[in-house]
Amino acid sequence: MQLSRPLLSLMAAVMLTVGIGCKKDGIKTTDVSLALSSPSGLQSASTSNLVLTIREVNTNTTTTYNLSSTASLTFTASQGSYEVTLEGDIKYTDAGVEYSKKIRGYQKDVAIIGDVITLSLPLFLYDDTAGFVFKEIFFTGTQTPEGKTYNGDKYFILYNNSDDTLYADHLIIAEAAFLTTTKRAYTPDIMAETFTAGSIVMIPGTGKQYPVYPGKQLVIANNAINHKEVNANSVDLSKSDFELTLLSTINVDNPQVTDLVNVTGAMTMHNRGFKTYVIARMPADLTVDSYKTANTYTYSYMNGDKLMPFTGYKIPNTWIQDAVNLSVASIYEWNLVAPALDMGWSYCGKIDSDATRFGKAVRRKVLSTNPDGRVILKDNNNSTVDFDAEVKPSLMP
Amino acid sequence: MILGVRTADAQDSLSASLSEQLSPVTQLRDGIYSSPSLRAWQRQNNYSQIGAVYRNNDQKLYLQQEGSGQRVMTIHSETYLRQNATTTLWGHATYHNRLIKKVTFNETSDYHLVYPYVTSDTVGGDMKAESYAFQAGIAKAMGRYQLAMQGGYRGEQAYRNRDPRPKNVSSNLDLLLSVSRRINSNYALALDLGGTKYNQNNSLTFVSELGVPMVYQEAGLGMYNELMKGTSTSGLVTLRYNGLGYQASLVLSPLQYKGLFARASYKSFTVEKFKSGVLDELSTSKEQAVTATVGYQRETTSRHFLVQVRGTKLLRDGIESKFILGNPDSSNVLRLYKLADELRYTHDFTEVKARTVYGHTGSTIDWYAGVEAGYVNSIQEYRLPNRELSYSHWLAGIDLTVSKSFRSTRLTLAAQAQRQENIEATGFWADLSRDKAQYDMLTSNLTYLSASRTRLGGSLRADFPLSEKLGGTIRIDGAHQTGIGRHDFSATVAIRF
Repeated sequence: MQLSRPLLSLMAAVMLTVGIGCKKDGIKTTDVSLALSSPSGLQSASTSNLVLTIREVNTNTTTTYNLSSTASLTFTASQGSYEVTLEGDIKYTDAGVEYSKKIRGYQKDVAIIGDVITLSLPLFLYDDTAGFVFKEIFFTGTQTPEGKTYNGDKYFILYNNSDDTLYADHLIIAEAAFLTTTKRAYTPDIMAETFTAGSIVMIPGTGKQYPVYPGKQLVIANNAINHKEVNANSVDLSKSDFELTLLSTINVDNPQVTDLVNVTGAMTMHNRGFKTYVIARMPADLTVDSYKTANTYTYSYMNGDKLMPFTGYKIPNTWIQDAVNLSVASIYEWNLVAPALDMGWSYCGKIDSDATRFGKAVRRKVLSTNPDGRVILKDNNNSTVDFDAEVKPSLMP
Repeated sequence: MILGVRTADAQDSLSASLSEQLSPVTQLRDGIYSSPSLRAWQRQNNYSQIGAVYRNNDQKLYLQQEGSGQRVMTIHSETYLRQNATTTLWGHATYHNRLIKKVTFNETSDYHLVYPYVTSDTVGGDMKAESYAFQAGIAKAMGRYQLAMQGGYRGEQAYRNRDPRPKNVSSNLDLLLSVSRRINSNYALALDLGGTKYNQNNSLTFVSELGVPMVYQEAGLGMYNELMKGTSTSGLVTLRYNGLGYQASLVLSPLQYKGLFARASYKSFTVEKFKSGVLDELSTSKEQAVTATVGYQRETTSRHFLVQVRGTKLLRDGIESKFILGNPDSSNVLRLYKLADELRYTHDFTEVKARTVYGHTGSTIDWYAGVEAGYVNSIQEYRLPNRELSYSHWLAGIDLTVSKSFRSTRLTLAAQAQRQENIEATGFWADLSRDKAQYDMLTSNLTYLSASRTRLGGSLRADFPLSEKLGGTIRIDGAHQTGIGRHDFSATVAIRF
């Protein structure tokens, strides 16, 4: 047949070209060895219930691994740019007491390429209930070089111990109405639900006027001035974030520093440390007057045969973010907040009117430092173990 | 311009040329002789015509990315001229003005070339497009050989005058070189080699102050690059497509319309997509297509017969780049750097079609009867997450064309009926939430692609003399397809000379 050779050649060419179009598997994978490192500073730490989630950010594909408490893991992932998240539990001991906390690890823009890579994932403590805490309370004040008591250089340092930006607007600091050194049978006893405040001060603001980023702090001075100009033993508080309005006899106003609102009168921090302090958040819809109207607390105690009536203000425990009991060992009698808020107490001075207490503060201990450098302060609701007592104030040179 | 190559060839018979043009056998045969170096045998008669066509179609089920129909105004001219014993010339020029209706999940032009890597949003709307296309070719006989070349250009601008406002400018430049050799008195073997260059610049702007929708860089089957999505707060997204293709064909064809014929062709087309602000390509689609045709034709003065079977295998690979967010540059702009690329999307398309036409001319009535049958299988897959959209169907159809002269006017009536029956369809996108707009899009596309349908259509054409050397044509076409609710209408006026 005349046509047979060209036709066969044509058919062969077709078969050859069809062969070019075979499929290939294009998914490239990498064996990933993951090394986990526990938060720094924790003793006898052990992790459990770890859940690792990896998300490839181009394709938004997520893979989840449930891990045992092993410190390393190997898995295979398609190549790409990943966001790596780990959540789990951690147990550690502190002063012989075992604590359980939540733990997290997080890294973004992790390049997983090549045949094999090792990925280190530092873990950090995570507490979704964390908020503002007292980082430091300098309540003792100082003495002048001449040995005279000096007022106005006391301060609080509030610290954002959470992962989120918090707003200080409408945050209140309250000093207890009672003394930790004098236990009374107050009636009615409402301590399980509320805190009985003497003086209360409040940070002003519109609601989001004063952001505090995670790991950042606010200094709240009694008088925000450079006290070193008149007392060489004191501190420079002129750069404080806020200041109190003290009793008129000792108040020095720095117009450059925002004043706190005195909700129930001027606060005079007890310089022997017989009080309890709390940080609380007043609901945004409450005014000072409406708060006082709704939270007036009339109580009494028996002094011998005599009924002693008083009026104070109560703060619901649910508003309270942190509480610190202060006292002196030789005369300590009781704590002024519910144990759920603080089951311990801290101090400056071991005896009443201890002359060595001046120029000392209580400061919260560091629990851990996150990979990003953010410090997490210890907050076990036990000031005895959470605070270092009688430390040199951090603002004092 | 193309018409300029036409010389006054008074001997050309308009009537003979018309008969050839009206023949469904000729229309099928043209494909066999589309190789530039076989064009000398494509037609028995020279012809030229210029015409205008109005077309409108609407359909209830449709591919979301291609819209629910089009309204098109076309001006078209073409010519075929065997200038002398050794030279053949041909060419055409076309202008389209189109309204593409209800396009969603696609703000990019030339979907069939760049899919699945289009820019999309869930708003969409009607698109307007204007395109110009020119093609010209020449074949020269040298002994037993014909040497030929053909060049073409197409430019298109598509846009929308309300948010979202795409402005797409695309172009194709094609060149085909061809050589054929008469291997005996009745057969020639032709080889074609060609290349194509494709470009598209695609910008998307929003002017509304009431907010803008999310813009996605699609990756196939509703997937998109998460890093590249955004609301374009700067108000502008610009993209660029660069494509390059080549093809080769081998054709065996008879020289006197009697005998076996065969054609095998291979085409490769690669297009890369780039986004402003990103140095590396976002994606690459690579398509390879193999087409093989075999058949037999036999034509005499009064009897015309052609049968052919054509098979097409098309594989498209979609290769995605993966990026990582780098450090800000000197302008404090975060940069994306390519980290890896991998094959994620594939489209495997197979089609086999057989068609035969028999016609009888020279009696009182010229008539042609055609039968066709086919099978289509299409599988689109995305890997990680695994998604699939596949379907297969068979089709069968018949058509009849009758033509009769009434004095100097020839009337041609054509009718077609075709049934497409779905065999299998799969839609798998289990990872996709039903709340996502992409879920509805995929479901709608699958419903359209897998719908069985019946098409009934017909046309009436009148050809009449305008002068000794000019002929006029008026033609009306209409069709309806059940299953997808499609209606087609077109009206054509043309002058032949």
